[in-house]
Amino acid sequence: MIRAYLKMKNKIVIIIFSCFLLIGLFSCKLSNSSVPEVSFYHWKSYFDLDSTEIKYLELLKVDKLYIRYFDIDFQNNKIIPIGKIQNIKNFIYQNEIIPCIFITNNTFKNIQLEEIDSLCDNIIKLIQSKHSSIGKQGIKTLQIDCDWTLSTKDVYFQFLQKLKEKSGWDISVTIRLHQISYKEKTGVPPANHFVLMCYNTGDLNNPNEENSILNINDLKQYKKGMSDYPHQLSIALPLFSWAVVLRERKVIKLIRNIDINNFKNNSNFEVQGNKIIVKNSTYLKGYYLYKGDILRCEKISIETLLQTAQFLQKHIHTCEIIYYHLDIYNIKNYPYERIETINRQFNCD
Amino acid sequence: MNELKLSIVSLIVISLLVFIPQKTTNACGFSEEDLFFGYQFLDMDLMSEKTDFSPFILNFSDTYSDDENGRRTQRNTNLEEWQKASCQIATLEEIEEIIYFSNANDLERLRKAAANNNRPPAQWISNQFAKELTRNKCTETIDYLIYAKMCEPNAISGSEWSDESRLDSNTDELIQYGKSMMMKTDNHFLRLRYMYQIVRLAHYADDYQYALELYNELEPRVDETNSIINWWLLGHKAGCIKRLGDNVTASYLFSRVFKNCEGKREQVFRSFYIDNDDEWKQCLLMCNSDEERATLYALRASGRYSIAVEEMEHIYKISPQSEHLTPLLLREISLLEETFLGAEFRRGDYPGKPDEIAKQRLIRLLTLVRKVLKEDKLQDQKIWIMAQGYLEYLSRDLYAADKTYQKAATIIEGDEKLEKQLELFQLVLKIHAYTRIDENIEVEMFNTISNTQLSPDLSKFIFDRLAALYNKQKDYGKAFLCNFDLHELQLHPKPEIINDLIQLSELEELNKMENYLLENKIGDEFLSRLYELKGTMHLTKNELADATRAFEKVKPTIMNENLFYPFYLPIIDCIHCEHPNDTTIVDLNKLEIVQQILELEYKAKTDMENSAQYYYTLGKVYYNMSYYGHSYGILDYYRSSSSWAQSPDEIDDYSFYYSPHGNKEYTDINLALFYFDKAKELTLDDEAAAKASFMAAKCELIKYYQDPDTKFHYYDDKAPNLPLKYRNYYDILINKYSETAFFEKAVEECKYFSYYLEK
Repeated sequence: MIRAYLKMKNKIVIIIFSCFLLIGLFSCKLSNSSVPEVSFYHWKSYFDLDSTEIKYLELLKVDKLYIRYFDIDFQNNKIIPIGKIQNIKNFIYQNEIIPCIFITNNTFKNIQLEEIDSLCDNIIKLIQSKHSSIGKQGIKTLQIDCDWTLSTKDVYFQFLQKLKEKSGWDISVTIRLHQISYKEKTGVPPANHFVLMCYNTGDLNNPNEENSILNINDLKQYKKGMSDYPHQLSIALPLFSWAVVLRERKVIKLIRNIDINNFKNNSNFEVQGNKIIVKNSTYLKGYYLYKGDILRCEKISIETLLQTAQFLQKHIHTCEIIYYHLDIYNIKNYPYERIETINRQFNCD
Repeated sequence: MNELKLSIVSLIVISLLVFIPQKTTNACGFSEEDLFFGYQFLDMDLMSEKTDFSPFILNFSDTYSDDENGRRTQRNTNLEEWQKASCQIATLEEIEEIIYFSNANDLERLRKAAANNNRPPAQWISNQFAKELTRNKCTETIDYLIYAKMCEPNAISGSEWSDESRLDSNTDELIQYGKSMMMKTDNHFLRLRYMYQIVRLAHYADDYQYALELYNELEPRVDETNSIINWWLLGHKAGCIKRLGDNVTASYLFSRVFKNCEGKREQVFRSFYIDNDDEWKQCLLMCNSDEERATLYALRASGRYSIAVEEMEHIYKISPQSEHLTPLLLREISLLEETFLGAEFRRGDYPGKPDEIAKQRLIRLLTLVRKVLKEDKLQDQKIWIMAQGYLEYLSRDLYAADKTYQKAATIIEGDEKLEKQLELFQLVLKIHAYTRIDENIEVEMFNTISNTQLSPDLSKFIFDRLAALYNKQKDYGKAFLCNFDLHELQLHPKPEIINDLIQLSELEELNKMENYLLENKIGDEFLSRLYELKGTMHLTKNELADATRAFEKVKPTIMNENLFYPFYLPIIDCIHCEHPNDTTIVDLNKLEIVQQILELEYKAKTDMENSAQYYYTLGKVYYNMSYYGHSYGILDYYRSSSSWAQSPDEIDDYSFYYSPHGNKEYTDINLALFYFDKAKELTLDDEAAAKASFMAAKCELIKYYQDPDTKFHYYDDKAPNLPLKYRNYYDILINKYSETAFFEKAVEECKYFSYYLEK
């Protein structure tokens, strides 16, 4: 009798457990929790978010915007903020904002160790001022973007450590692909969050380069570094296009948001594949082009993004995709449904 | 426990591998100072006294950097106007102290003193400008200075780190106050300055429309046309117009400021903006003269990457006597000079060989210059005719260049600066025209290098040219020394160079140039040093008899400069350790080492009873002399892991920035392995066999690291697992000699072996 009761009890336990398991699995599927969080960079000097952009963010369920507040450079023998974002006071955005700063490597080449303290204080003050001017209280995370090198590693890492201590904020840092490949040399920054920039893989200055923004084969060279990076990585993917202006085989200018189709019936230009040859000297978007200049149009197709995502998801376990960057021109080229397809390639489980 | 052991092993392996050459991307020791950006023989200062556009146009490469010069010019011009207004009584420094370095309180005290006919405040008691202001009761002037101080916080950028706008709530009040003060004075020198302060306040408060209204309202009330302040004001007007979206008018006004106000040129250049071809056409239409149109083209030509020759063609067409033409000509030549000068023979990666596009640009400029000279519309052709000659030289028409220079010489006579420039151009042409170097030319070039101060780039140009010609006539030694020295020859010794230099050094008489090259590039006792290098080169190839012969010609003092102890072999390698504190160790020079190797080889072949021991000793010597041993310096003058890294495809012949032939590393471990194997085979003593097997196993491990298929990286967090083909001697040691005392010692001291054993 007792044995029968125990058998019965075991069966009930197994059934209940199985039910929980099924419910658990099913609920996971229903809540779509495996798709990583999607964010965007806003990387302009003038803040202007129109209704199309807001709608785009809503459709993609973006809860977080990374906004460049200013850059920092060493100029005229001092470290100063440049390109401070304008018009931010008129900005209303309900969701989370992560302030970002781009700091030139030149800054860390020239900084004196005793200047690190004051640099941190100045950054904190200016970030707080910008942040509160858009009605945001409290900063959780600050992102620092810097292409540090071996010679600046030590001072950059000291700066990050000090900034973290002084601000009490989480520090997020961008990581270039070469920095994950040679992490033993370039080091791992003392930060809380790490964003791998999966673009600018090619050699912009090489006149023979076809697409310097993103080349899947270039990306593959870094796969070892991706899989054994000691911290979880967020992934930044490119959503932008530009024309690289080559004059006498030297890269002299980047002109953003160029649609090659607009040049096909213009006598000043001749389109050859992804290149536009300047046939007569002329102005283009405020830049004077000389006869013989070549515009190399670089753009990332949805297909390339899809392949990139499929490759990355095999080598990086990520829970956040950040697109660079939010711009009305890019929105037209990358419909939100296609971006969702990209996002679905990743699994955050 | 196993994990702990593995970590220790990893550490040991990583430490060991620090001494194994690694494949990395960056070479060490590279310095920007070594970069070569092309020779420069054109004196960019040629135009400085002829037009004030030169500093701007010729420094185009500095555009976007600090505009300290512009700011300084502005301040000086303003101070000069104040000095003129005060009848030259005060110095510029005295005026500057009052206008730029004072504060409002100081000025208030000065005003009080002036009003009461008192002496100036204590700090300015001897300042002539302050004295003049008080003596003449110039309260109106001091009122203006006080007003300017009040405006200052709104006008100058405050702390860059502040997020505060320069817009002050009292700005308009300040503007109104300024207007009232302006109207009170009849002094138009001061009225103009009040107007400037007022318009600037409104501009910087971002109220551009208001600023323009103020400009239009106040302009008729000022009658002061010769002041530089008018151009500053026009700059503000243009800035406001640009902000309101009218690029065309703004750019036209900016171009006028550019032409007339030297101190504002940099600022104006940055603000000048034309969006499209229509705007450019409209801007040209706004101009009232061809010279104004020429200024627009000059502005466009001033960009860092502009093709100025195109703009020069436009300028010449509409305004052939434009003062913009010559600075633009010099700017273009300096760019072409960088590309073309000595392109056939110069050493260095930059700026690269001229391509077809660059050639077209050169021809285009030369064509324009010839046209300009032919049409004879210029007031001053001197620079242009020299330019023609230099462009002909750059295009390699040496004959035409020579003729043009001769013609130029008659035209420029008496102009010292141009004569000096022409002398340099002619010298460069002459050096370039040499097709063969003989003793006379060598001595002449030596004298030129020693005595001429014409250009800092001249000696490099001469040596590069000589090197090319020496190589052509197979004087490899002299060719090498034109650009490199002994150290660079040591990095990768080349027999043809060493033998050539030895032959040269053994001549009974050397000319000045030869003596200079040998003494400066090889050093004192150059013949001995060359034989030492020759001996070492033979030793690297194991040519022991040749090495001995060469070393025997080296003076003992040179031979004993570096001593080694290759017969000492610890179980654990230590490449950069200090000399062991062991009195039994004998330090030897290279000649002694070679002699001992020869003796060991002989004994190994003849003394069969002890041959295993001799072979083992030979193995030690060759192991220690290799890249992996502490006595690597016997063969290698510069051991570098980055040399390995730069050229992984060529295992022992690595490219190296400083040396034309790369930095050779001596990584061949085969001979050491051969001798250890021989020792193991021939010995009857298990202890000796164990030792020899162990060393042979180490050689095998090195061969594994050298294998191009090896994927192991020094930063991998585990010790390498040796593939089967590299395990021969470790396995022999384990299988045959595990009972020996040496085996135990090896397990104890060598962590990798211990790890291997566990695996």
